[in-house]
Amino acid sequence: MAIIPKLFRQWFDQQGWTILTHQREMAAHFQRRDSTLLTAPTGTGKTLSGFLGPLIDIVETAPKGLHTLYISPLKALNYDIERNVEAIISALDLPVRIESRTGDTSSYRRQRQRTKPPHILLTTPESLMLLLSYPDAAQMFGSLQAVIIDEIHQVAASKRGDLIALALAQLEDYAPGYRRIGLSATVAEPDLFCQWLGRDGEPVAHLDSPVGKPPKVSILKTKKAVPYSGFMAQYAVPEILAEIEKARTTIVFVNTRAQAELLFQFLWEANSDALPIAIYHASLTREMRLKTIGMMTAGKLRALVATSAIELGIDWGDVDVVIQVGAPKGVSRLLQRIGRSNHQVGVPSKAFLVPANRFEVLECEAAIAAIAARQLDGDHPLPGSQDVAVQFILNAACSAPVTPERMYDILRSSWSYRYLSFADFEALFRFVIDGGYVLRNYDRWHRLIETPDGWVPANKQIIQRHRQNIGVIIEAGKLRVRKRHGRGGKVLGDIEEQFGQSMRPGDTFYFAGEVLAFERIYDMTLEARASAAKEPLLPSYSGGQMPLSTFLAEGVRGLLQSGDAIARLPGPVRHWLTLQSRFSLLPNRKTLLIESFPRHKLHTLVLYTFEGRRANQTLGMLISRRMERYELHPLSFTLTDYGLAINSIEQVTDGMIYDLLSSDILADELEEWLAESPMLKRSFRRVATIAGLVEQNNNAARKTLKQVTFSTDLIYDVLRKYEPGHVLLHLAHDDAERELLDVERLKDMILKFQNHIEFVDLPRPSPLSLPVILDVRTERLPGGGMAALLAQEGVEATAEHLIAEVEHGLDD
Amino acid sequence: MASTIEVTFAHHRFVLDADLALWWPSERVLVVSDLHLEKSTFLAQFGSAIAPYDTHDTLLRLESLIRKYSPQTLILLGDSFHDRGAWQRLEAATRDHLLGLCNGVGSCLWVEGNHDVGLVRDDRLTFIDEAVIDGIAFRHEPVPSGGPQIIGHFHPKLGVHVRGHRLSGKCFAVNAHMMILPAFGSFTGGLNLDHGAFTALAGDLPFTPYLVYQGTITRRPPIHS
Repeated sequence: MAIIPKLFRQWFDQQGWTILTHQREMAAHFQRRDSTLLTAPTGTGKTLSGFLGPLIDIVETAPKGLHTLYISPLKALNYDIERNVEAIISALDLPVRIESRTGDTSSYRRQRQRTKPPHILLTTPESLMLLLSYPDAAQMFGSLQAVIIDEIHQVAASKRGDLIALALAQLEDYAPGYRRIGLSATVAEPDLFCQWLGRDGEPVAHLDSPVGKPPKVSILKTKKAVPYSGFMAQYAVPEILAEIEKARTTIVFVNTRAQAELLFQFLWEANSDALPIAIYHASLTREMRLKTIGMMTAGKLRALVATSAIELGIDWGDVDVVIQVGAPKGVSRLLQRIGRSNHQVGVPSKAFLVPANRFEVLECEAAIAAIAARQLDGDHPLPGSQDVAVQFILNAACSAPVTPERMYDILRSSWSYRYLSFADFEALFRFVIDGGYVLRNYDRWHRLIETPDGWVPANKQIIQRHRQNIGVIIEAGKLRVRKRHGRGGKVLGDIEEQFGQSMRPGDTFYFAGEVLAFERIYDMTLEARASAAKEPLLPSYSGGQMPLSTFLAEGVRGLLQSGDAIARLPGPVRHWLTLQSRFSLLPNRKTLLIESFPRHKLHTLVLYTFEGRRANQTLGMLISRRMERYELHPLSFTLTDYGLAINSIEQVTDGMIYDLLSSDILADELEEWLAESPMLKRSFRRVATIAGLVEQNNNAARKTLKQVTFSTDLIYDVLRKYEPGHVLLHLAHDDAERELLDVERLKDMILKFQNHIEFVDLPRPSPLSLPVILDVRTERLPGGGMAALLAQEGVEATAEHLIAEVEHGLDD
Repeated sequence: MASTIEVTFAHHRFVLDADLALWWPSERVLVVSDLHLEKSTFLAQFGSAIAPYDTHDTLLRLESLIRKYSPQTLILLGDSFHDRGAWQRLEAATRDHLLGLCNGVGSCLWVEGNHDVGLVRDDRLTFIDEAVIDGIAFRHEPVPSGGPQIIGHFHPKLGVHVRGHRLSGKCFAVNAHMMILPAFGSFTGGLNLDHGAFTALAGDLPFTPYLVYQGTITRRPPIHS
């Protein structure tokens, strides 16, 4: 066991805390120089576990130079941690210097951090890359003893995770054998994360903190029944408000910004006691967000309606209750949200789920069952992205001369890039040197030139340009939203450029909880005035649409094939499913249920895939292409996380169904569709920006999305024409398949079910199909919020009518 | 879905081609503007390894227009080169291609644009300030004169809403006194027609845009400021 000096033990006593087992063990691992992944639920002293070892070591060895590097994906988290660790340091009067370094750090301080580094430096992946690009990187990091990576579960399966993985590999050059300490929420497969974190494919040790009491999660009971379809959960507003009144502080989580704006509006309309309820999402200004955080931590708010913008490990004060409105989409994600409540060790969190439609009831039940059984889902780390590798190679060359052989070794020592072949690597290296064009080479315009020591940047501009463009987050274009009064005005936040440009003067929209009327776009600012209109246009849905996790989808399928589980469901839902099993079939784990029925003089084909919106969208595009080929004339399709409905003029018959879903659809139709869709252009823009072909930043003047889009589209067209085999086109293709289409997931599904299809020919729509065929959610709802509600009511009436028809048919 | 559209400008009949060119049938004059040749290699100097095929692509498109119309006169309406070093950076074969195209027509007029000023070149290339044919002035940038003028320089483009979809493309902009040509170069961006620069230029006579989109050209309602 670890030796915890008296000083530290006394501090724990003064706080009235005991040193937890995993905190002590983490310190022991540190003292043994072991790299370790700690998985623990939120609110179990994880941060302290990570810093205890380094703090003790710094006090005992009084090192000169940088001792511990802490990397988190969020600037705000860095400040939070800095405050917490600083509190210990000053309480014990320890001789330890801690500083954070982010994009906001002053240039004076940055300079000092390089010449006289603190003992502990807190930073982001991007800022770390920048530090690694300086010629003195070897010197600065030479004394490094440990690197702590926080929120690994959030960041590992992303391009930012690739950036961290490569930085870790590079640091091994400067400080061989430094400790790698990973902090993570509880994950389904910790072994994968241990490997991700390890050097040369050697997994790090794993410590799992004992989980506390399981959270108390239940579906919120409401007077009104859950509707058949929809996403706004307006039916539950009175009960949500009642829970807010009962608790001291509540966080109401929603899945998209649009839901946040709408629910916030509904709550205030019903909030007769004027309880202080606020809203929080990523589009609001920094000032507004900080103000809300301040009020929240000071306990001045009774409730906060929030999107995932607040999920990362910041302390939000004393929250009693968490309410999740809309489907949870994933078990791990739900647990993290629930973990926001009762940040005390040993006290179970309390949460309510509010499904927005009947399918979501099933999803909520499946999630609750998984939580009770302590099962988890989650993102797995993917093979490293090659565009990030390109950025990394140039980054290394900015610091010191590089050779292809050495760079290849460094890349391959990271688990994420272990399968990168030398041939693929050479293409990337070639691209860094001169763009790697075959037909015409840039002999005079090399980015890297060869010296006896290795390759170095050809000139200073190249280094400068690279440093300004480090990072992998390609921002969606944003417009500032400015509310004008008279001549003055106030900036409220940012809105997607695309959404802003779709508006005309006079159009109204919700933003920051207000109804605004669009006036004009001027100089990247959207100017609007307060509006008295009651029928605003909604914010667009772009982003925020998490697909249903595979794990939870399996849970829903399992629930549907268990009579016992169905018997425990609320009455209306049970009735709905019973009708379905009598009229058609219930889906199960082994087969893919497909229904066909006439509707509005067309034929509708419904596939209950349970594969999430993204995969269903892709499948919809592919199957309708194939249907066109078979002259079935598909006209439109609608989709949810659970299923896909395609309307066509001709009917799909039993004999055709296996041809429609055969696995070659992923070759022929996919290639054809990709070539024509704007999807690849979007991916090309992303990889071209990350690989440094075009820039986001130039001399601090940020290009607008439009400019970047325009130029990458032009490059894309020309490249496809003259050099279709270019490495960037390959990367764009991979990126599109992975990031946008969920092709892997679709592939798995088609292979699994292509010989196990249950096809049912029905005289009219089945009960189960209603949420799919009546889904009114589109990119933009027609007519605005209130009109959407009206549409929703119409839909509900249609659903009731269709159900009555089914019942009538069964009685005959 | 037309690939050309006829307009009357200054009492003459012109053809606007979706391949970003202006054709004057009676005078057999073909006009293109803002080629910005060697923009890719210009950017390459600053570390951006953009695909270097823009000049090649631009010249191939120009070649096919020359084949289509067999013009007597070819007018390059300025900013033919992206920067002062562009001529020198041309590969020998590309330079020959360019000169070959020019020598293949009766006369080839290089109007000087702001990007062409100071171009390091040899005597095979001479610029003129403007060309005037039948009282119509062809120049790069507009001058506040009384006569009708055909210009480039502004790279006009237009975004429109069609049944809820938004699409945008390069465009021609025409009023009674002035015609602005779209940029011809493969790597040229654009300035939206609702920008202040255009409304100032239009004065009391709003521009009628002719939108080029995927090989077609369509007349759109005039842009009022």
